[in-house]
Amino acid sequence: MALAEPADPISGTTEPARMPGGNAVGRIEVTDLTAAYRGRPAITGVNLAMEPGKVTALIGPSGCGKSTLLRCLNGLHLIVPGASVTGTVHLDGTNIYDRGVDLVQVRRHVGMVFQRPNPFPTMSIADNVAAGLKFGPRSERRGRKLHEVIERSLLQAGLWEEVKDRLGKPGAGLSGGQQQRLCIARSLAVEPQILLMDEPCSALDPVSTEVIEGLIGALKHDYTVVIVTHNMQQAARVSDVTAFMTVSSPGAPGQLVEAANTQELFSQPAEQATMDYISGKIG
Amino acid sequence: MATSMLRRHPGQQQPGYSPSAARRTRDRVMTIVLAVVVAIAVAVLVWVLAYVAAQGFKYLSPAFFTHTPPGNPASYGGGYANGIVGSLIIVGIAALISVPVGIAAAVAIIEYGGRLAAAASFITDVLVGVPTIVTGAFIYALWVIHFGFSGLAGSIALALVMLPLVIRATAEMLRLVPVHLREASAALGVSRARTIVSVVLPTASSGIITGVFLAVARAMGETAPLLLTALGDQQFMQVHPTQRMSTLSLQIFTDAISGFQAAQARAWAGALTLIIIVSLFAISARLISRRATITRS
Repeated sequence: MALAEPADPISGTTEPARMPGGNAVGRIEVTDLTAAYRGRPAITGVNLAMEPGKVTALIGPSGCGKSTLLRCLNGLHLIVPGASVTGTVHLDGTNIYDRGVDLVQVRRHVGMVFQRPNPFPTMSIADNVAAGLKFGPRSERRGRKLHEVIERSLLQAGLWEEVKDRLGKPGAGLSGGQQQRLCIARSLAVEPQILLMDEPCSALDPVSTEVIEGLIGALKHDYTVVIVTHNMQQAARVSDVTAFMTVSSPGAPGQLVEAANTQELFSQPAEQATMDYISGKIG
Repeated sequence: MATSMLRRHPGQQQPGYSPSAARRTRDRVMTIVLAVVVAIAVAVLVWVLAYVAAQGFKYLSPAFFTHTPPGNPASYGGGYANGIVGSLIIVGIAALISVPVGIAAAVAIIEYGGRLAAAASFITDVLVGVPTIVTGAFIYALWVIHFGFSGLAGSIALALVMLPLVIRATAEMLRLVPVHLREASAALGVSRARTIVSVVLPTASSGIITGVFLAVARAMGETAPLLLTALGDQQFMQVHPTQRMSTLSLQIFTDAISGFQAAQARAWAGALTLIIIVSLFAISARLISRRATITRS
């Protein structure tokens, strides 16, 4: 917390503050968060902090609200008609649900990668990467050379070597794993501090999954990474902290059971419900 | 189970899997009935096209596209050059009016919703059903009485005819744009308006273009609203939209109801020309939509 500069990173007027060690600022603190669709809560009473430089995995059975929690971290939850949020999500000290905070601006700082690779079908590889900058506020484009941003983002996403000779080709022509890395590059191009990933590998083959997982390990040095997965092995492989969510009964709102260091949570969970889930008793 | 079905020898009875004789008969009868119905439907269309083509080609010649009708409708010679030009100008202006407005309305209906959008959606459905002669009468009362007959008045009437078609086609295509593309754009910190302009509309563009072309084709053939607005100018080439203007459809109408054989022959050739122009629009719409369909990844 103390690492964050007092300057408000949400306003978009200041450069994102970087720690001397190269680690990103971007601490998320969720307090007493309840999110509902048309009055029906999907998650309730969630308290969780996500630290910069670490990968936080959200695991749990289907319908436990882990995706909803993730979508609350960048306000995307509220895009759905009838959705509502109570509680707070502090991003480096600013509650993103405070009145006066523009969620569109928040999303410049919180990138998101989705379950299915979703490059823009009408755009080339280069245009996909540059989309966030081109369609964003003009002030952010100033002083940036698009082709440099494109190259840097694709390098970060580990895709540059594979596509550097066909940047003008359609993004939809890539393989599934490449498309997903293209989507990661697209998110990184707007220079967020946080990267949210909603089951980023569930639509991919094992080889592509391994590539993406390796990428997550590299990205965590510069970003706060939050990943939703229903694959416990994946959570164990890539994450530093794991949060387990579950529902008491089908249709009930999801709740956070516990969050701990990944090793700890998988070896000696504090709660019986976690034990039952990770040992395969339920699931 | 599947393999046992595949390995079934002909003639070998497999109770439970082979359809009964009655069911097989019913299947065959229904297949025949459907084939006949389809054949009738297609036959009528082919008949219309073939008849118009046969009658039209008797008179159609290159001169038909370059000459205006003769001064005396009873004499042969001349063509519909003024009608062809008039049709293109009037429909072109109508498209310029209705396409931007229609796309904007569809965006409001699909992307923004709300009570106003619901009302607009309902009115669109009503507007589709309004007889075009009523649209013509409306423009006559509103415009022609004050400013006189003109190509522009015809354009406005045709724009009203096209508007609901453009709105419907665009709305249909916007609905097809996957939610995950909108969310991908939103997650990049792109505003909603910019997402619509730069992501949603380009993704839906091929379908929207198809819809616009079909609306244009429909407007090309409209006669009733033009009788009360553009009125027609049988003799002379007129390219200024503030003046009375002829269109293909008006010339066909006037010549077809006249008693002169020569005029009726020209009407057939005009009808064939109209069908060719409309087909060209329909074909180009098809080509565009085939070239760039929405990829559902």
